[in-house]
Amino acid sequence: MKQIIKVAALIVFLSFCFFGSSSLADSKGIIKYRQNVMKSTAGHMGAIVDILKNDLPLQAHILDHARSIQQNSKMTLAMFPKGTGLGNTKAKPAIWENWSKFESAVQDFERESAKLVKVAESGDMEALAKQVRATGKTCGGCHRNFRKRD
Amino acid sequence: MTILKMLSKSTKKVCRNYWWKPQTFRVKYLVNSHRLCALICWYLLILYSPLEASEESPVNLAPNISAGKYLFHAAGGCSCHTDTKNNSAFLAGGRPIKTPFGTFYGTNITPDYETGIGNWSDEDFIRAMTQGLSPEGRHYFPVFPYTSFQRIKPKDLLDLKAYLFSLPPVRQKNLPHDLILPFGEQYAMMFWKNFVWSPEPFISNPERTESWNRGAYLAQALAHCGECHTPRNLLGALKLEMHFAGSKEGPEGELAPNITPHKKTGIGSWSRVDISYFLKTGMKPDGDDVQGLMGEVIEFGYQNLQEEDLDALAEYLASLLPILNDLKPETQK
Repeated sequence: MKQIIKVAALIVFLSFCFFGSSSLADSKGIIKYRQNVMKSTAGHMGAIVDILKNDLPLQAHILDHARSIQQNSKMTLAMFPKGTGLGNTKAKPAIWENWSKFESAVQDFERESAKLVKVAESGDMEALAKQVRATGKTCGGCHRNFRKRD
Repeated sequence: MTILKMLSKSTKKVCRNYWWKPQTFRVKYLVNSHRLCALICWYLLILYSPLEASEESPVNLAPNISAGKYLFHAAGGCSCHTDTKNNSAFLAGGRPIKTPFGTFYGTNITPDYETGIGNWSDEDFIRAMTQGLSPEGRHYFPVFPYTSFQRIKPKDLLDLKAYLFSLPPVRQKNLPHDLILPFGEQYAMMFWKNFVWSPEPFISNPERTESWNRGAYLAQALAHCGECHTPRNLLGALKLEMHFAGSKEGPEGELAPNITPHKKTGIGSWSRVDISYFLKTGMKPDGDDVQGLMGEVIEFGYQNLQEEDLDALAEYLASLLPILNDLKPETQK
């Protein structure tokens, strides 16, 4: 009897190891992917800000950066499928425990970045500076609650 | 020192040789040579004290609420006194602040008579902000950054008080702090204040620009950057040789980064424009936004500062001595 329990426990343990590692391996790819997309979002954001704060004569680029940010915003939610909270990631488990809150925070980002594109199209620099900040704030909507700190 | 010595020598001589011989003239306060020396020093001090000081004497000037509001923003909006996570009332306290010394709870600083600071006089307020003493004479824990606030000019303090007292009072009782012994003891605080803490006044540097000095005043007194960004020793005193070099054990268990202009471990790669834009928006040069308490002090405070003051802060921070202090080894690669 005892041996059967031992064997069963071993099987359960090994299967955990196996499935655990396989899902870890699966999520490794998506974690790296979403980190890259996030970096590019931040990069475009930083680029717009660089143009604004240093008065660079590259204002024509702002619209393209804004469009890229909006494109990325539409990808964001799909980059967080269930079970990708383990491994080398700063994503908190709270994302999947609190999915609706996370979803609405991402939607805030989508909405504000869409506005950013519109403002960039209009060429109103003052409104643009404001909208950049509004969009920047929506980063915090997720990062404050759903990202581990360094 | 030498001037004092000379003065005490000469006052002794006066006492010995001149017309008020102690035996004949027992005037209670003047006979003693030390007292005479002190009296002369005091007189000279009054006579030659700089004009500015008398101008700033708190009694004569009516406090200015809007100036006070600006100073409140410069102090980061006193965010520790608002429990933002639970959407509690503005400045009514109750926010837990985790530190290595235990958990503190922000106090109610609305002008409510019973649970807030409504019955504080100007003197009470100044004493609390500069000496860390409650109106009843209890010692505050230095989690309340009077260690920085003691550098605020008296006039500014009164403006700040006027603003706080213009806000709606909120009745909400303070929570008792939850501390690791012996930090919770009053005598321990007394010891701390007398032997661990050495208050350093704000001294402006005439060799620097006016805006640099303004930035230094804002950073060291109002914005109290060092309270989080300077590491502390085991007794909770700031390590002054590590001024602004960051701390692993910031409030709420968070890391407070190195904000000296060290190229690799600090913010040496940030330009002055980067710094002032960051203080206005919370957006780092890499396009990421800031979180945690820094995000709050920007949102509720620094972002309302005028451009010149943000630039002044940037000028000051960028001029600091770069200190190597790597707070996040390994993880960031």
